[in-house]
Amino acid sequence: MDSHDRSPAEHLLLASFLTIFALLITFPESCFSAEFTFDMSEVEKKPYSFSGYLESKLLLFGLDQETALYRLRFYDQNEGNTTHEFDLRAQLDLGYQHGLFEVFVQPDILYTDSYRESGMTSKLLQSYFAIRPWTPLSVYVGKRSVKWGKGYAWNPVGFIERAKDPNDPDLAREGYVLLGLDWTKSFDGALKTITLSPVLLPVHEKVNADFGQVDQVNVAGKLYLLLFDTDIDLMCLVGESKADRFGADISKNLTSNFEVHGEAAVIDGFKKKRIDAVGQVTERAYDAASYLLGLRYLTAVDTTYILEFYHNEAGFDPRQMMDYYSYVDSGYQQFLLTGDTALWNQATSFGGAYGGQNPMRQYLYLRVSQKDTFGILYLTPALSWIQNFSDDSFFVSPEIIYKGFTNREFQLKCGILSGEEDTEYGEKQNNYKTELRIRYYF
Amino acid sequence: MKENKKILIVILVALSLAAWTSASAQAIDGAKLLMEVDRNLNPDSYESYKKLINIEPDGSKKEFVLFTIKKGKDKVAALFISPASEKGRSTLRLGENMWLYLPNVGKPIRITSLQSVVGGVFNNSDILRVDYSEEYNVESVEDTGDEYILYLKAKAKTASYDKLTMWADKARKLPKKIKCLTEKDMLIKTIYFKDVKDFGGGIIRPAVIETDSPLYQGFRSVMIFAGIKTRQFEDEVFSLTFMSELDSLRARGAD
Repeated sequence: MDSHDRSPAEHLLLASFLTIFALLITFPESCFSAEFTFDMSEVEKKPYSFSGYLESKLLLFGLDQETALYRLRFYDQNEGNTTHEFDLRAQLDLGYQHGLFEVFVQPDILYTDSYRESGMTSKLLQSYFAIRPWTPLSVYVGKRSVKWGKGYAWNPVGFIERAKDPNDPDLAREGYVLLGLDWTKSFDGALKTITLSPVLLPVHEKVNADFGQVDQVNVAGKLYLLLFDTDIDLMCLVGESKADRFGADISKNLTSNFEVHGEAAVIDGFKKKRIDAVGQVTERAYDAASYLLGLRYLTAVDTTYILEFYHNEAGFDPRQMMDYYSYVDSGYQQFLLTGDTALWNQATSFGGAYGGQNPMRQYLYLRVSQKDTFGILYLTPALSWIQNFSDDSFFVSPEIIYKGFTNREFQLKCGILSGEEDTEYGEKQNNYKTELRIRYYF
Repeated sequence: MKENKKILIVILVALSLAAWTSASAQAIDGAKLLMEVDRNLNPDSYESYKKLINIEPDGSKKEFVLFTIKKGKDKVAALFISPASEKGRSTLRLGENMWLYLPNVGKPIRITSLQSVVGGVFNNSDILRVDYSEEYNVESVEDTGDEYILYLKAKAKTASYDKLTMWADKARKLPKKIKCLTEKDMLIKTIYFKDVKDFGGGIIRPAVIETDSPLYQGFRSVMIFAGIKTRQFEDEVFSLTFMSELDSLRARGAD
């Protein structure tokens, strides 16, 4: 049953379930004891570990029926002005450590009830075996999330990871199956640390198939230096699955409350496919550079500012985006007139490239968060703003997080999308989004 | 008459010499004293467990337990053991460089010393304390009889506090209280060292550190120490790649 078919009674049932879930996980704990005690039995270590979180999330989407991406998704149905989604998620961290060996498995189980689907899905975010024969060397094999780069919202040098969602950058992401190692050497002097991290990434029909061309083994690597109190990384990815790419990043604390960072990458012979207003597909190869400049600043009253500018030559320019939206519009008109979905299917096949996260060329990200607001410890309101400089559309997201109860986290988040016709945020299917998230850690 | 003059000169010279020698003996070597305080607080290389408690004005509290290791003057790392919401987080400090590793984020990110990974009154530099002598120069020392008052000035802009005033027990050479100040002498927080305890292995130091701040009226944060013991580490343990594996040191320690 689609969520929009639900009766008011079912909505009430769903709301009741959420309330009960919230009450259960926030059942008052004994947190007012006056004495401070610390016994070593509290820190006893076991070889096995079992932890993770349960999450309940209710989302409300405000739909804009005049936009290209709404038509692309809902061309043959009427979803009305709003739709919602309910998610129940369990993310588990299962570990076993014995001497030099470690096994780690991180399954993610999600029950979703939305206009698209209703049901349970599961995947392994990570599942690897690691050995550290001596302190400077660690070798691992299996599915692992290897994250590169210093950017908060974007990582142009994240060559062997799945794309980050700038609206929720801290979200765990599924890794790739890899064979890799980290070798570290420390020194006294200006150069304090050097770490070499080579990685082999195979791509096969059943392994890492979404990474790129199959039946290839790709080689990636990162060299890290802590030089003059500055983090410096040099990285590369070469192989046949994707175009070769090379990058670097840097990060440094200038004062006790001010950090600056940057990333730069070049994709050698990047192949960009685009579709014009009449549906003609062309492909062009060129060297695409991208870079990110950012800072993190903490004021005396505990306000944190994160500001990042992202330039991506692999992205589309406004003209190219406009062509795509025109094509979607043509397809929609054809469907209305004839019921023919041929144009439609082609437009949909490009939906990921044009309708994905930040497909254009220049963005600014600003996040302002205020710790312990109104004298309430662990209450953090924040405002995130993504400005598309290429077409002047933007996404603004106020949120409030409360972590005052041990192992419980509450988040209320809104997102407002704004832009003219034929702009990125102006043509998204939603014009707002509201999200209530309750998380219980165990 | 001539003889008397000679005697007078000899007496004057002797008196001057005596006065100079006495003054020298009483002058306190502030830098040396601060290093002694550092060594009495912690061995050069050690592991320990800390419980951090943030207490709100209504008495409610939130606790964090950390496993901490330190080597030399300026290498510190800490792993969150509890609560479950923080488990697996780790922090690393190499001099004025600080990083935070969040398991979900999957990579270390640079943090600044004025931030606080746990909220409350303690900031990152309080939690990842390096030797005071590494961050501060001694500008002057006052001897009040049963305690020393050390006036400290930050060596670099990256230090969390511009100035510290430290009251140290004269006999034990351990801090009793530290006032953390801005460049313009505005009080940021006061740190109290309490409950001096014998941890074994010759480590006798305060087991409890408390702090309050005029910027957080009514709030208090407490740090309780347990299991402090001398332990040697390889330098590579204090590296970004090891941040996700700090727990393995606990296993090895227990073996």
